[in-house]
Amino acid sequence: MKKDEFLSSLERLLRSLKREERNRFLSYYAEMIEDYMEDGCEEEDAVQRIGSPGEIAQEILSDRETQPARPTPTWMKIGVIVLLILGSPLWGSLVLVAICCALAVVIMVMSAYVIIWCIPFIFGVFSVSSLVLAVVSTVGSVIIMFRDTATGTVQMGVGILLAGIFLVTALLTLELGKRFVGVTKKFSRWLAGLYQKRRGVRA
Amino acid sequence: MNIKSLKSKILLAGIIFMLVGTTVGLIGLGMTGFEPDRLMKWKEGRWYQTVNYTNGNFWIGIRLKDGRYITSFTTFD
Repeated sequence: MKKDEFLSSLERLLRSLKREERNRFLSYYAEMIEDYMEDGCEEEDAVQRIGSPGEIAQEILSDRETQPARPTPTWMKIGVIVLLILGSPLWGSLVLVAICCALAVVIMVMSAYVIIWCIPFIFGVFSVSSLVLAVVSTVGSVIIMFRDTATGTVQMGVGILLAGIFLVTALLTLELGKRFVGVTKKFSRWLAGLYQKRRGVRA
Repeated sequence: MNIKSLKSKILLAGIIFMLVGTTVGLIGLGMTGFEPDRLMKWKEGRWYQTVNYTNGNFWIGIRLKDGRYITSFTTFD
């Protein structure tokens, strides 16, 4: 294996490390290969003497994992606490603003859903009211007919008219409901897309 | 029967009902000589009377005791 191949392979295997740290290891091994070559080794022999990039990377990564986390000094802890307390008017208000913004967004989204569903809901209510009124009007018109024929006839006409309105509005509610389910799905997908995009940017 | 034809039939039925209802209503109004004041006045407890004309106002709705409405569709001045 040539030096460049070795180094590029090692770089690939160490990509989980920070760039500076990775570069430090790469330059260390590059220097080591060069030292061997200065001592008279062939490039491939020098690389072979160091070992395979896989083994080296595994060693580096396992060493890193076993390293205990450096404990934070007490003065730093106290300093952080003091800074947090002193800065609370600033960060507290910022947190409040963030919470308010999040709440505003949630309310806005909810309002959008309410607005979207307002139209089919109104048609639905109109349809149910028409049905109730149509039934009462038609049945009631028979009773009223015995007392006053004209009023009974008008009421019967109103009952039949309302039955027609019920049929048309029920159909409209159904159709609008279907359309608005589609609109809601699209809107939800768009919202989810926005959220995922933002998460992608953060990652 | 596919759904599309069922829907168009329902729509047609709805329109026919509306036309017939309007005609029957107009016939009834014609029986009063197109004077809605001559329609029967609403009385307390007559919840089944959904059409009424009082003080120049024409309303359609279910009216319960104390003048409360369940459904009130129209009120014309």
